[in-house]
Amino acid sequence: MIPRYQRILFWSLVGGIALMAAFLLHGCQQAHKRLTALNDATPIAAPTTASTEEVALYLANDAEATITSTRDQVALPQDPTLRARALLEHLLAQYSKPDSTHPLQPGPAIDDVFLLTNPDPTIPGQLAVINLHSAFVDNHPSGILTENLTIQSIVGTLHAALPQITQIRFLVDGQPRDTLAGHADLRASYPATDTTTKPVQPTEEATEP
Amino acid sequence: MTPSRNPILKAATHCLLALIAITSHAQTPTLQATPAPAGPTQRDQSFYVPQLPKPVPTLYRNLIFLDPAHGGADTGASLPNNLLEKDITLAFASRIKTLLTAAGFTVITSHETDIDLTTDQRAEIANHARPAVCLILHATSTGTGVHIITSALTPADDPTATPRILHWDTAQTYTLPQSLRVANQIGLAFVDAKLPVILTRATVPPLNNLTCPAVAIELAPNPNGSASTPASDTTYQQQAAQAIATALTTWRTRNAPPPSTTTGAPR
Repeated sequence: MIPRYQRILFWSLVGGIALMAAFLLHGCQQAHKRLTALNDATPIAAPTTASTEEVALYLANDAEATITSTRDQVALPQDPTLRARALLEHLLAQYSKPDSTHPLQPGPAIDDVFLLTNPDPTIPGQLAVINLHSAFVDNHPSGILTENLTIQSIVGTLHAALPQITQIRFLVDGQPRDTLAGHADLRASYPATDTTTKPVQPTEEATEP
Repeated sequence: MTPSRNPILKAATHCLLALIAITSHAQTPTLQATPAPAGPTQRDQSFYVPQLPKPVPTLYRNLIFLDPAHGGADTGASLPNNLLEKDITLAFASRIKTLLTAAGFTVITSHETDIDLTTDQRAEIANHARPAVCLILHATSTGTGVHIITSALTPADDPTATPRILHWDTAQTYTLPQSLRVANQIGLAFVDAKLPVILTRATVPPLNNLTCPAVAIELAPNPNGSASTPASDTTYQQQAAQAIATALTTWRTRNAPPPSTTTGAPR
């Protein structure tokens, strides 16, 4: 015969375990929600005075090594400098979504965009200097293809939205840096062109001298 | 010593000193002006003129330059299992070197130990050696298959008219058509080896600074059913190295200019 006090103790312990399990489950659900919200970071809030318009985003795909143009509705300011910055923030925010084909860390990426007269008088149009956040550069995946796709995506999108830009250069926290993440050249000046890219396969004809 | 011998010794010493002075004067180089190239207006001028650099010699058709990217403090990409890109590229270069040597090539590498080298230093080594092909080796954990990258520069209008002086930032311009052919040939070898391959162009140091046909090869995870083989896998590296050796052997036979007796011809 089990004494009564032992039975009370047993059921009290069982109740305590059940309560702790429920508390733990609730904690896990809260943490999951918090992490999911981080991954689904939305782009910067659009200015209330800006109207929504259709723009071309040149989106990268790591697996296929492509840049494809897609249309999207974005609220952009009229000032060209602010417009370029907001557009690029919107573009790079696409890559921090969970289903991104070119995954990048969420967070602010563009510090400033400066539009200048081209220092080389033989080149018409404007020079865009994009000042990247060091946090964005430091967390960028390392590899020739992935780094090049990021740059081509920025160049193509900027060229489509602001055709007056003919050359693009990059800074990181206001300073020149050799590479994006060890590979793609950040000291080079990139011509603003349509950067739509399709994978190229080797052919027998192309080997002929 | 007797006093009568002193004048004789003195005279002999003076003679010796005079002889030494005359000899040393005769051996002192005199600053002579470099004559200007003989021409109707410059024949008698005696001022310094800059000497034109010698024509750039052509390439050594059996010489391959390998550059395992990164090294020293520059670790490159961090790959799965705490592996570093610089270690993988060094191992990959060693495999390629073995196979190319067996195929009759002479192989030089930018480095064979874990040391710091800037991309400019790597380009200097390659440009001085005048190899038939320069291969820059990389590894990554993003993307799939093998990425073959050539310079994003615009090829020169007339690649045969190589100027005497090449701009450092666009030195690749004149050999870019050959680089594209080498890239294509290596790509075909990867297709034959059943390895997925992507040909692309990018601005990656030191590709633009190389005067040889230059290609960067980046090993990315090889998709293998539901899983993927990482770039650090030795079998994958060996397969890729074998494909590269096969491609370069074929390229040498089909595209490298044959030896000639003229000065500066391929050797």
